[in-house]
Amino acid sequence: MTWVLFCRDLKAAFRGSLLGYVWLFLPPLATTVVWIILNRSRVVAFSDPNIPYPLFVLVGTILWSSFSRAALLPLQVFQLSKPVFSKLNVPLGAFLIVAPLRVLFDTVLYGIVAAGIFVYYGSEVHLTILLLPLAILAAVLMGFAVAMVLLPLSALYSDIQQGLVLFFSVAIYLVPVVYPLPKAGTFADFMAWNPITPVIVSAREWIFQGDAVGVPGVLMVMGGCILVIGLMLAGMRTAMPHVTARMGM
Amino acid sequence: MMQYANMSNSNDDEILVRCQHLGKRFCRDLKRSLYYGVQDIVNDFVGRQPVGTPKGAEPGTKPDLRPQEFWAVEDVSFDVRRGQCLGLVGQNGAGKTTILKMLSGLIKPDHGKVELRGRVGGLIALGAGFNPLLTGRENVYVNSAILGMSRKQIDSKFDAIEAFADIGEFIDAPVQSYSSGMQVRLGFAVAAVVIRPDVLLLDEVLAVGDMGFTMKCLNAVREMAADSAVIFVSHNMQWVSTFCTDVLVMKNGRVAVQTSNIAQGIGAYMECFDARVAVSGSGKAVVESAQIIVGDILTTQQSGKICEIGQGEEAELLIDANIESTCLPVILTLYILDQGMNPVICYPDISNDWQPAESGHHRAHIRVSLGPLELNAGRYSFVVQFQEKASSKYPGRIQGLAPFSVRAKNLFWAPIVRYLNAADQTQ
Repeated sequence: MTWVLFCRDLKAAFRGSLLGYVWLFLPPLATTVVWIILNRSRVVAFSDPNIPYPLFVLVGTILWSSFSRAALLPLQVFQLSKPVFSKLNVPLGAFLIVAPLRVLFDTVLYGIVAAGIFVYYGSEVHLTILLLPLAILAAVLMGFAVAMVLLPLSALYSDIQQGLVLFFSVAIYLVPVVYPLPKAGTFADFMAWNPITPVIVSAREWIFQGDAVGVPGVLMVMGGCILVIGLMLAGMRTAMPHVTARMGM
Repeated sequence: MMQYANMSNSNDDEILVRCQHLGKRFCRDLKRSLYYGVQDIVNDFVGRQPVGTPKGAEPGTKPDLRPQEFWAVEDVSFDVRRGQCLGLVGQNGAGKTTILKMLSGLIKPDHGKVELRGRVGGLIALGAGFNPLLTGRENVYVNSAILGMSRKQIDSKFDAIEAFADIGEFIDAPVQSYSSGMQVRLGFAVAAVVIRPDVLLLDEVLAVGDMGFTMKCLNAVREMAADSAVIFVSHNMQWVSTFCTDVLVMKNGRVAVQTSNIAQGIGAYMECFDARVAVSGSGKAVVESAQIIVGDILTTQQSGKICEIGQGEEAELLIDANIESTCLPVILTLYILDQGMNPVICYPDISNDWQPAESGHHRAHIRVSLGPLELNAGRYSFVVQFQEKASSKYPGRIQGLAPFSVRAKNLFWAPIVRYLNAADQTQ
């Protein structure tokens, strides 16, 4: 069922457009171009001779957007499917999992665009880049876990979704997406505890330094997320009748 | 106790649905309702009794209402066996849909319990998950998947669905180009072909499409219903009378009447609708009383009881009115309205000899022969309308007078019923 719903949304998303599936590639291209231009004009100061700045940002952006979209999309999917939930007894999980699948799918396309940029820069990459899917999966799982924790409240109050959008627009600067991890200070301490940080930092290490040292950390994050998602999916069975009762006919 | 139990091996193995003292609270205020929702979720996670249950009370005790709450469904109990069809009828907001939602497990009762045996399915959300941009064919697959079918199963049933919907080449057009009737046809076709439940829930689904399609739907539902326990929600008493073996009349969330005498149930349903007297016009003409005479017997309206007339019986209407003399002469017109306030009979221009006087009021008195009332069984009332001959103004139009019900052994699909063989008309 998840697969059918996934195909439905993907087909429907572009059927009303002239460019169709081209739209899937445009957002990553656009963001990348922006960073290339910014780098060329030396607006941002970045001092690491080994890594071209656009590539540095690109990796961060891909992971961050996977995470934030994976957190927002399930909440949106839930809202859109409310008419079905209020009338039919359908497995909630099957509907929600469409969201992280879609994010994974988009991220893979994003990655294909990114690979082109890497070739363009002739950047030297290490074999540990093959670990990258692990980081992407971790980012998506983490986003989905956040969504699942918020879902019971978000299903009732629209504040959650609005707040999350606002939060993410600020939070992108609280993680090492557009700048490297600071070495010391309270900010560095804060970042060390931010679970998305090891995912982004490790991914960069795997690509640019050939250093697989972050793998256990990322795996731990993934394990934690899967646990949370499982618990919350089970919990929604209890919560769902109450949510439906408040949804109206 | 709130629970959905699969019934254990009881002796009475034909009962597929059993509801006991079912109750559900709702709140009219949205903000508060959402807050109660959070309260209920937390409460349920902790595994406590519903909020509002008196302290120290035994499990299963009926909880109290929280501020601004009301019982949308209260103390409803019934059983439905295989082969039975329970008609759930009542005015809007009586709690019918809430009961269906509790039966399908979408919401939890706050009190009482639901026991079900076998698969529960319903013709409720027709066309669930339809995307307007996708074609009918694609949407059939989506909709069927949501109803729990595998791709292979859908492949094997697709032709049957297409034939049932009978929308021709539109099957490959996007659903947004469909007429609303076509969308419902496709939705109904999927559900009708795909669903094979033991407990069948029907919520006002037959009111779709044109007459030809409705007949098709009726046949399909009959086929589905033959081997299942059916709960049938409808405002259409013709369908209730053709389908149901039992009727449960709901009023303000409670059971008003529960009976296997369909005619009695339908009668009780119709009594839910008060023909309230409504006056319009300039108010210069007032009806003081309107009474029905059947066979020379004046049926004085007692409180709570309304006059009953046999189908095809002759009756007269006795009207006492008070008309300002300046309005005279008037054209008197009489209408009979059904319970849905649709006019079914008009008696135009009833001759009267009310003459204008110098001043004051004219006490008008008239006895109108209505002829045989060959009306479909149901509830009716009169409208008395006065129109000034000189100015065409309306000094008064009084609606909801002398309510009466027509008694008959059968309900039909037309407002007027005329038996050509008088012997058939046994009441």
